Amino acid sequence: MKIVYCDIVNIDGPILQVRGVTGVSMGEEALLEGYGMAKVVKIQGDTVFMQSLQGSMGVKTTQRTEFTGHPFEISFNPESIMGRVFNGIGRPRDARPEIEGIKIPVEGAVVNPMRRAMGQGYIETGIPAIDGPNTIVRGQKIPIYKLPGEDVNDIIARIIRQARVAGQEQFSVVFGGLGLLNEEYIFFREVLEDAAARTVMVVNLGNESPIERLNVPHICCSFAEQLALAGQHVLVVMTDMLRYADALMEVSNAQGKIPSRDGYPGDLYSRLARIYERAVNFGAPRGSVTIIGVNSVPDNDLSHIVANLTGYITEGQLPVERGRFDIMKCLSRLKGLVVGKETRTDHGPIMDACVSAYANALALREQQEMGFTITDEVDIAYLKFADQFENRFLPADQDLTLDRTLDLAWELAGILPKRVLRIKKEILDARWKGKEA
Amino acid sequence: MKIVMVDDNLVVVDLKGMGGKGVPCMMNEEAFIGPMNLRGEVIRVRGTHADLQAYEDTTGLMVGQDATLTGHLLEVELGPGLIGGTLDGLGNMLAGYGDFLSRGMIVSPLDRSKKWKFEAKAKDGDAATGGSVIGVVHETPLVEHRIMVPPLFPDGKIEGIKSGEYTVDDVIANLVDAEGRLREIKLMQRWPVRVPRPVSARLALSEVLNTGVRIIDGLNPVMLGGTACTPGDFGTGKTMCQHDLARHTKVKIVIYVGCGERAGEMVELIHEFPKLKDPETGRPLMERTVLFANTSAMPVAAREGSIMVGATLGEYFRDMGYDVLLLTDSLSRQAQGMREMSGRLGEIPGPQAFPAYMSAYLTRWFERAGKVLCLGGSKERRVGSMTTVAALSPDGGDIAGDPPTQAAIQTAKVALILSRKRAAARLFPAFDPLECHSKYLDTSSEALTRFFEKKGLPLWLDYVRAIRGAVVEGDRIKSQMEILGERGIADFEYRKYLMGETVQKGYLNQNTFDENDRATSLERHYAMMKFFVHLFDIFPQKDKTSMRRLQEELLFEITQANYAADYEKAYQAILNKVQEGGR
Repeated sequence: MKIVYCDIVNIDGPILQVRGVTGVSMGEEALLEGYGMAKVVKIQGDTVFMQSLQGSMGVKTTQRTEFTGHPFEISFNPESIMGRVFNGIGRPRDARPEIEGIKIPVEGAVVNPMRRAMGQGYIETGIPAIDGPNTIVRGQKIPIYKLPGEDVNDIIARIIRQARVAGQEQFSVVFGGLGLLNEEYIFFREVLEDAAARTVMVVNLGNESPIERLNVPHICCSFAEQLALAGQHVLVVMTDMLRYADALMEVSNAQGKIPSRDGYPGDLYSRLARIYERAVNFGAPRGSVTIIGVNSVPDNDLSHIVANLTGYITEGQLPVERGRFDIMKCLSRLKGLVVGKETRTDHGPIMDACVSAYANALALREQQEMGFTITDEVDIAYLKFADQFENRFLPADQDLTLDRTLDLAWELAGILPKRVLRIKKEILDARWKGKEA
Repeated sequence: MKIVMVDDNLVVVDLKGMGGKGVPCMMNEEAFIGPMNLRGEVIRVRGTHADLQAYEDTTGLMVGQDATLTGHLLEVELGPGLIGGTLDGLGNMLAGYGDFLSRGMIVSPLDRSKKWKFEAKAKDGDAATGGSVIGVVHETPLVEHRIMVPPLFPDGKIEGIKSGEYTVDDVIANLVDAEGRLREIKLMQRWPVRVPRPVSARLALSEVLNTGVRIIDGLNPVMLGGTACTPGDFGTGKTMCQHDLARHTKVKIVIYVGCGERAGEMVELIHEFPKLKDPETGRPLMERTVLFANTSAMPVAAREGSIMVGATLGEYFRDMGYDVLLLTDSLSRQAQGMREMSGRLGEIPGPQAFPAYMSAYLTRWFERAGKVLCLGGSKERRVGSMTTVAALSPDGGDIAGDPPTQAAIQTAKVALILSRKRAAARLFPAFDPLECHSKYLDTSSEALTRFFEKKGLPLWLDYVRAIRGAVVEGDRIKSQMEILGERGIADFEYRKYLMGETVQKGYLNQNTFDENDRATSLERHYAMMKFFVHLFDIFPQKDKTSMRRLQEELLFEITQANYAADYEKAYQAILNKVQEGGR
């Protein structure tokens, strides 16, 4: 039922209050005539609190408000959304017509854990540091952590262009831009043009409303969820989730909520979980939603509240430092579901051995930095291995098949003596390429 | 009762209604809110207004809609049919829902139409009281579900009991009290989840929980009926460790509460457990397990419910005389849920905005664990236990500064602290041997000695001391080496360092993917400790390089021996080799 009202009694940041209204429900969509959209966030007696998605600059006390009688929805059509760009309220921002399709809620319902299938199949990114030691399983959620000053857009672009699934299965990418700078937007528009047939974008720019920004991840996930229910495997890539958290803080403070840690609201964990938990594998014949969220981390300190809570929610992490994945901190929690089962049996052992050898080498380097001379022949081999590993395996600007990634790992492991690799003998004998001392 | 305010999951209702007297209302009373019947609970009363905490998303609720009170606290139904189930935080059976969780839908954990074969163990005229076992239902091949008189029933006599096929709602017998009043006994009973179930007596702990994890069973033992916490930053293998405990710990019943954590991990349990076999009987593990899947995307208010419902189920099976393991992952999420709600209520925040009562609350919850003489079981001396192992996820990985973690470490007798450093070096389980502690080594030392003597493993505690000593020494020298370099320390100190490393990598490190290494029986564990203690004695004292080469070689062989079925032979072979080489 539509209710129209023409009097706003309180304007407090983006929160608008209307008094003397009945029949309005929580979460309802409201239209501010000639201004934009709002969402009902609290009802107290006959006072309705709305959150205006476009802020409140220019809102008049005589503003005409129409309560629509339904929760906030967006249009979806699997045929016509590919190659399109939407904004934070799900409307086209590419000067093309509105999508004709079904209406879906922005924030979907919670998936029944009993109806989730086990992660199966993986997404090959072509980047050895991901596919080898940190294989991303379909239905997984994983953040890329980076310094605020570091630009990882090249890596994201690579993932959008290169990502693939095995066999003939349908695959698409949903890109979410949260508070994108204009320059970044132009960059990603070009990426979209390269992969238009299988990519859709939802973008909120840095100079646009932070409240709309809060919708971007959910719109991405709602699109992805619909595509997945129809049988597609969907990769959602979003950047930058720190801007999501900051927007949440802004909105939460405006609502007068008590801040929790570092000024962020107490429900930050639950909010992030509502997004990342939308990663799902519905099981064949239906598809999956995989989420990669880029997250700036001040000082690269993983105990920063946003990175830390994200770490608890997501299934691993891929920290980047100076254009290279910081492999010692990288982790894919779900890789065990596919590694060695859907991939080569040597996949797990060789990658574990390489990472563990690299850890050893880093400890030796520390010794060197403190002025000690490394003389032991095995130690020297470790250092040599580390150099090669860094120069050939870790750089992100590559596109290798998984087989080639693993072969490369064995080639590098050949630098080390067999006995220090801690790999089952059968596998070692069959694959190790070094020379016996 | 009309709704007067909705703010996220806080719903305020007017108890006064239409001008009449106020509706009576009880603190923590269960309520149903709005036309969708969203479940909730009274969390505060102010004059004629009651604050309800809705357990579900309140989208669509309107002021002026009705809410009803149920007259009782939040309860859970207990009876045959729980085992093998996956429940949400409020005790709904998740199998009853579609792809998405629909709001306002309640699915009882017990199948109402299923008929169970009840075998009466008591007969008419038998004396009985609250807690008395009057018969059994073979719920799964692994669990004989003992049907008990509900705890609060008075002393009386059984009447009208008969074996047969019954649904959980059928009356299977009556209890007639001294005044001749009849009370119906069914296969199911209800219990309010926040109230600990009564017992005849609490008993001193006397046995060790066999988890199969060496760093626990050896260096940091948990007593059967005891409490432990496993705090760890993300990526340190906290959840994996809980999964392993669920699989391998030698107990009758496992209750696993996924509280505010990733759905993906629950899915793994849901899919893996039916396939995994109970090591002793070869039956599917699910036949002795109940899972709770309160995932992080579910409404925060139901999170608290999950650990309470889990504890209630645990106590129920404990009351049958079983050993129960209650695993919770993670308590931090529960505490954070409490913080969210406390903030919404406008309560004065304590440290890091957690409510002041958080620590006391966690203590009360931990205290539901224990070894007990079951209610109604004094005649047959029915003893049951519930052991609690709770994971925590400290904010920022800051164990010292995280209030819920500190509260848990204070209360739980065993703290198993996961280390990021060990996890990064792929040494799993990543418990830090120097940070972990078990207070039972002090408070239950006599019980421990008696226990291991009775098991025929008399030197257990001596071995543990030797192994712990090697780790501590190894670590001390390692830190010296970080300052002085390898050449800065004497060869005999370097030997100690190598021994410490050997224990770290060869003993503490366990491979969950290897069937022989992932869970160590007490016997195998004993043999292994014995091997290490011998190795400390006979490892030759030579120059650093030769010792290191030998240690590298040994470590490789120890790892292979850990994977071997015939461990005695494998360890002996290594000792022989060292002895020969030393000559």
